[in-house]
Amino acid sequence: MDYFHFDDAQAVEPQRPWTRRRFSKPKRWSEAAITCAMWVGFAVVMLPWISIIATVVVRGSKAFYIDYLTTDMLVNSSDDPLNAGGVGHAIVGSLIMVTLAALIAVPLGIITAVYIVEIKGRFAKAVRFFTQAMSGVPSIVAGLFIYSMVVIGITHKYNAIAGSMALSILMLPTVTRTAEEVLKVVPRELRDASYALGASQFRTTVSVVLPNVRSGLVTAAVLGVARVAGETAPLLLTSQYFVKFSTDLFKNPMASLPTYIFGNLGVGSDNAVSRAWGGSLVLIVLIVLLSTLARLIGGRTRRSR
Amino acid sequence: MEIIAPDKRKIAVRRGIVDKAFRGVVTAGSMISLIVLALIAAFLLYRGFEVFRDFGLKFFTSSKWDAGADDGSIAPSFGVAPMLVGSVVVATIAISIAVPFAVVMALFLCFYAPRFLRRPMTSVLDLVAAVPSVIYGIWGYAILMPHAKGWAETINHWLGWIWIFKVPVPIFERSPFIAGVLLAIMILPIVTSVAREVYSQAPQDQIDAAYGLGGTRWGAMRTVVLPFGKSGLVGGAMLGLGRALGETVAVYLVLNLVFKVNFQILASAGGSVASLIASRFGEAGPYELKALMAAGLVLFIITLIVNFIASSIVNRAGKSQR
Amino acid sequence: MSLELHGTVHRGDFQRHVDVTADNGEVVAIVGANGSGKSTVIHTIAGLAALADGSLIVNDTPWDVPANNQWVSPEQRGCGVVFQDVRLFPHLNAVQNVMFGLRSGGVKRNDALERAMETLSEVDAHAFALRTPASLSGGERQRVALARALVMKPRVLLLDEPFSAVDERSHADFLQLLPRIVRETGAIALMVTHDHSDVSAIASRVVGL
Repeated sequence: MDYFHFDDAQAVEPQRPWTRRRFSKPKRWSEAAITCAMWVGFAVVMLPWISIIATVVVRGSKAFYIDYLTTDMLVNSSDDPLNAGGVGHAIVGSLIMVTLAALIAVPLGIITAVYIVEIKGRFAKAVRFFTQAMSGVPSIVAGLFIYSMVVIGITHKYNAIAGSMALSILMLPTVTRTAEEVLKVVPRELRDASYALGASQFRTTVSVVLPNVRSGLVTAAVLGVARVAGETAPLLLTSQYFVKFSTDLFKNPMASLPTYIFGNLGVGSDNAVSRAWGGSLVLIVLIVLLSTLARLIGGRTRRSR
Repeated sequence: MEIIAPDKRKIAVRRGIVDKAFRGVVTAGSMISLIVLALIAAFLLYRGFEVFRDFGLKFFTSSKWDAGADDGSIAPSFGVAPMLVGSVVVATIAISIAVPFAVVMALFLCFYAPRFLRRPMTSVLDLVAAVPSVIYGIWGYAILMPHAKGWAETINHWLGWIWIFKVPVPIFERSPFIAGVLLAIMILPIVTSVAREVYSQAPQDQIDAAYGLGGTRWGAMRTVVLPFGKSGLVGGAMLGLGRALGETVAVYLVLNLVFKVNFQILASAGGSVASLIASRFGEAGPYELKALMAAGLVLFIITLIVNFIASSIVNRAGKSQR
Repeated sequence: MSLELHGTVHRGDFQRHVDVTADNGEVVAIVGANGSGKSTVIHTIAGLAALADGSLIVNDTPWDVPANNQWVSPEQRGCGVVFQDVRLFPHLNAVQNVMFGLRSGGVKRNDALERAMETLSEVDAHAFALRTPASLSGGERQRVALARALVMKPRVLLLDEPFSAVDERSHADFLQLLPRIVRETGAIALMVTHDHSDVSAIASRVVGL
């Protein structure tokens, strides 16, 4: 199950009038102690989260110099000083593979959601169930599967296609679940009006239902992309890592931000680790941008209704 | 299409050819998740069955992972017992740390937090849930480990007389404890989201009644909200468990993989099936690769079972509340 | 050639027996208190709700006869419906809304556009053909909805309080227009209304619920 769908993000807390009461005179000291403990618990939980973001920003920014985002590592080694080489190839690689994964997973996810919500077929329950099960597949297993099916079986090479296939497996459940929520919002009356005008179910779905929730479906796609943009394990087994800019989908491995981070971490020298932090910063910024985008688009759908 | 019809009446809809084709295509397309799940099982079994055949139950009980020598002087031997045990140990540590904090966090967000904190916290939860595991890993290695090492030393110092807190040699880095703490931080957003969702559906009238009777907020929590959210929380914890069992990179970075079944959680020796695959994959020969596929299948099946249980609990909890 | 509905209409917990008959070329008014099932009758004839028992037979074709398991899908009934809550498609502009039914029936884009514009001018709505429903007033929306129903030249025209939001001048125009179109096309028109002057102006028969 995936709890990062926009319905959640937009949740509005129910009205709880009594929580608004000023808590000035505790009836018992234990009540005050518990409230205190809640705040402490909150602080303890927030601490690592703040630390993660802060560390990535502080350490990651050290790796940045003017050409960091636009150069690759073809002529530099990970140990080189931080004013040479860059993360450009990994950004390009990540974008390519994630886009390809979306091209596979988004149509299938929407089709699955249409089956569950529009067709309400005999297997709707089973399909939901298996989609949920699929969201629990460990990412390394997805990688291992694509490695054994595509890399060993077909291409005999590590390549970007295999990487994006592995990512699409992880993306599909997120897209399906979000699209399902989105389709459920379309009011029955709109479908009825379409049928009453003589439109077939195909026409109703394609020309009325889907266009009406276009932005919601974009949100579903973006959330799916955000979900897999940072996946490392499956890419280690499928697209691996490559030091230079590459757009070759079949013959060569392809760099990606997660494998760039992981690879540099493996090298272990100070400069390499700094590069790993730099890659982490780029990756986090990318994911935050995507999530914000998804929320903005999703929010717009909501308001227009 | 859904026509409002009386309960007993079945309407035989005659569909046009376009609709028949459309429904056929969509139905076929929606089978993708089932197909992928079946293919995963099939391919991993196909590549790994040799290992199951050669080692049988020993694959699950043996602690030896040896690719053997190329010239055949040493026979290969594969067993995932330490990794399986390690996965469970690490995930258990993660869950037992994460769940209490998730409960506190969810109660705080639903009932205690000031209003201005609640909405932004939703976004914060979503954000940290979206932070990739490799970043948790690098943070865990660079920042958490030095701290957690100190905590481990303290625990060992005061509770070292308990067997599981003993360490054979005083090395506290890369232990199951540290991996468990890191995973706890990682799965906390998911478990919190589930718990918060469940608690926010607790019946308001009962809360008000309990609040009126006992007069304390905590009384209402204890008598209404917590019992109400119990099964949902269990489901959420299981989801977190599934995540923790399958996590690869973060664990790989902070855990020392040792092929010896180890329950002493502070010692620098642990196991994880997922990390085993990631760490051995690069240099594995053909036969060892098959063993890794077999290990992957085992991991796949375990997480599948955990997730099945989790989602059925969450679904049931969700239904009974609506 | 006529419409005969005798049976129990049904929607959610609501159930009631109704008898509605209408001949070709006539406007039948359906009147009744709130909650008396007027909209349910419209939905039943359009094929969006099914009868619990009885029969719905239009022009000798059994559209809905539960006892014989006979059923015609809404998209095959060829009704023109103006819903009480209008239900224009929000993602399409006015003329696209009117074209929708024609395009679904396989009419070519240009022909559909031409016919849609013609119908829009008949109901005096061509001025806002390119605006989206959200930017239209309630009365303007009802005109577009009326055009959307009329453009199909339906055999059965179902109007659920179609003039509730239009201004008085247009209202008078429509009371002229509607019987004329119904006569010309030989359609069967059923109109739900609260307005007694509507009834006396155009209805040749009244069904009370």
